[in-house]
Amino acid sequence: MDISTADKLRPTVLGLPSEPASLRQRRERAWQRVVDNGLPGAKDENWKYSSLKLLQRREFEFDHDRDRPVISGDWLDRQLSGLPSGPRWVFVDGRPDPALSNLVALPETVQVDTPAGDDRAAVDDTQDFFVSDNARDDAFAGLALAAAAEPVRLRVSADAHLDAPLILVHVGSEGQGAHWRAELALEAGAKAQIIEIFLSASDKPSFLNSAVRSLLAPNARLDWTRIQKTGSQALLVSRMDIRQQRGSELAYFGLDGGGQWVRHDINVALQQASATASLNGVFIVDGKRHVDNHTRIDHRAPNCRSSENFSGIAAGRGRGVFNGKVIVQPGADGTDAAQSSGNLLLSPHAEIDTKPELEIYADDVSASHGATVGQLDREALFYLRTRGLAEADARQMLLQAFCRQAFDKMPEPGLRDALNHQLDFSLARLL
Amino acid sequence: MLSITNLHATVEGKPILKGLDLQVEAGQVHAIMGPNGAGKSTLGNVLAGREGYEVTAGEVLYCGKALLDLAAEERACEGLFLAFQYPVEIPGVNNTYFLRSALNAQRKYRGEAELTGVEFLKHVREKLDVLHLDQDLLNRSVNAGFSGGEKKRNEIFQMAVLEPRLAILDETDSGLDIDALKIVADGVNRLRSKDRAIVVITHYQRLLEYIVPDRVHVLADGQIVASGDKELALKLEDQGYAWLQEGGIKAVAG
Repeated sequence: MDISTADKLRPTVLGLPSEPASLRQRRERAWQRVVDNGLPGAKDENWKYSSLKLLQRREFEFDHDRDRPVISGDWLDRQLSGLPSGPRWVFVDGRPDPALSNLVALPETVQVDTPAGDDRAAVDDTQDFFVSDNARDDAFAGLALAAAAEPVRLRVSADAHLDAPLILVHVGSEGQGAHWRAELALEAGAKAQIIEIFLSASDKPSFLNSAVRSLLAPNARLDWTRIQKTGSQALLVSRMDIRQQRGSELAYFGLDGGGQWVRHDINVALQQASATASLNGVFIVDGKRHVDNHTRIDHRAPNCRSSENFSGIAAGRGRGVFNGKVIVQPGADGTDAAQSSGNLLLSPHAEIDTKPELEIYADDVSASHGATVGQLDREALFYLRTRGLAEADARQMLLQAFCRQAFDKMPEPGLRDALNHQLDFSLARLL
Repeated sequence: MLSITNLHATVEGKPILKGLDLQVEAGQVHAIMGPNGAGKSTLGNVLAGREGYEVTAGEVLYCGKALLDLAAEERACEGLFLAFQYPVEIPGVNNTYFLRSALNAQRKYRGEAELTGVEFLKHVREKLDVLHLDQDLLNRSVNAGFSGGEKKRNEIFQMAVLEPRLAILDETDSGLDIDALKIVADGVNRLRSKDRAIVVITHYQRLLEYIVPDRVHVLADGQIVASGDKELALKLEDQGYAWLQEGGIKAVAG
């Protein structure tokens, strides 16, 4: 238990002053829960590779000054260039920035609000926010529940198909810490594409704790793309909890190319039959970067399908972690769960820790997993060079190929190209 | 074009080439034959610049340049091409992207304008036909999932696209059925020209029925032990390599 760290992550006031007392009480309860259980440490199995010591050592300001300009629109445009256009919602240090955002293009089928003023205490939705066996695994989600000043709520109407992606942008600024959370509901048959981008205003320290909770109603489809290219001193804890109902589809593609210390959790609960989830991620850790991807797919209903494909590259003194847990609950017959984790070590001082975890309690289950840690293929490198490619170009070509296969199945070619472009940018750092 | 003098090379400390001499002029096709373990593939790998091969003595001049001082990619840009005995599968690297990047890297090195996508496709289409390769090969990953024959044809296709000055074919005939062999030979023969030299490394005489060499050399125990015209290959076929050990060398070489 480490109360001192949790206290360091607390804004002076939880929530907004205008909030009803019941909501504030709910925040306080969530906070107390975190304090009582403590933040995760080295003894917690799911956190043993991701020590919080950087977070403990640094000082962050959690009281946000709205009037302080952090970034310009031009800077933001440059950061987002190459991405498909769509409505933008920009959060600076966890708080919405109306001047940088552009939500007018959102169709009426999408309801967007920040429910700060709502009294939602009557709905006890804290229960399914805390899903883990070990309460400390949910500590950061609890912090977000308690301290995210302006939670975001998005609802896509039944059978509505969004033409353009909604782009969520997070910008962290120097010395600032922030908690952010969002609720996303796709009603039956709705289809939405979301691109979430994490940026830093500078290469100075910043901290963001982000938690997204999503419900996909029957036959809804969510395409979620994550582009994390925060600065070299950015600390980030991010978590997604997605509950899927009958026949719904989730397609996640993530690139973690930046950050100093990043912990990303994806928890998928396939609650009703015939839902499918596909999680695909790439992480690149060089220098002293640390990126930890934890996924948990809970097959609770029959005939659901999940696939995971994560690729990691570690160079310098970087450390990459992939932990993929798949649980097939009693009765989840006909489950098809495939997982693959492929990793390249480019330096003797780099480290990759990859661990598949399968727990199967049902019959007629097809489950597979494969984890590899290897080095760049010297034979392939030589082959490319004998055709005239300089060694650096040949290496880049092989690294690109290694990572890009994780994005091969992206349905939108334009977005895939943009993601590959961001990938190349991160890979170029390795040369 | 290629002048090798007293070449000695070791692999993991073990001497493989032990004083090899070879002269190849532009416009010629030379065949290098020899038993397994004679050093045939080592010669190809040393010339292409593969790591793990240490040259301990000797000199290799290629178009007047000290070849061994150049990095593998510089050798390629100077016009040297090695068709691999075992072409490497590279999943995820698209053939077109790879070949265009390689060709443009070579053109850039030589101070020539790089080819656009359209120009490149025009350049490669005709070469595909020669090797009876389907156009969808261009969209596949380099050698990934190719059959043995496809891989060898792909090597010759790359050679046709890159138009080297000196091509070394390392056991390109191994693993090919007769139809594939004819296709490969046809591809090679179309590249014969007065400005280009080709060195065919092979264990069997069969390929030389279709790619008729100007000179045939026998490589045994790290040295060229006999040289002659195409009749030498037939004699080897007829009498086997054992004949070399029985003192037949001098008769031919003399």
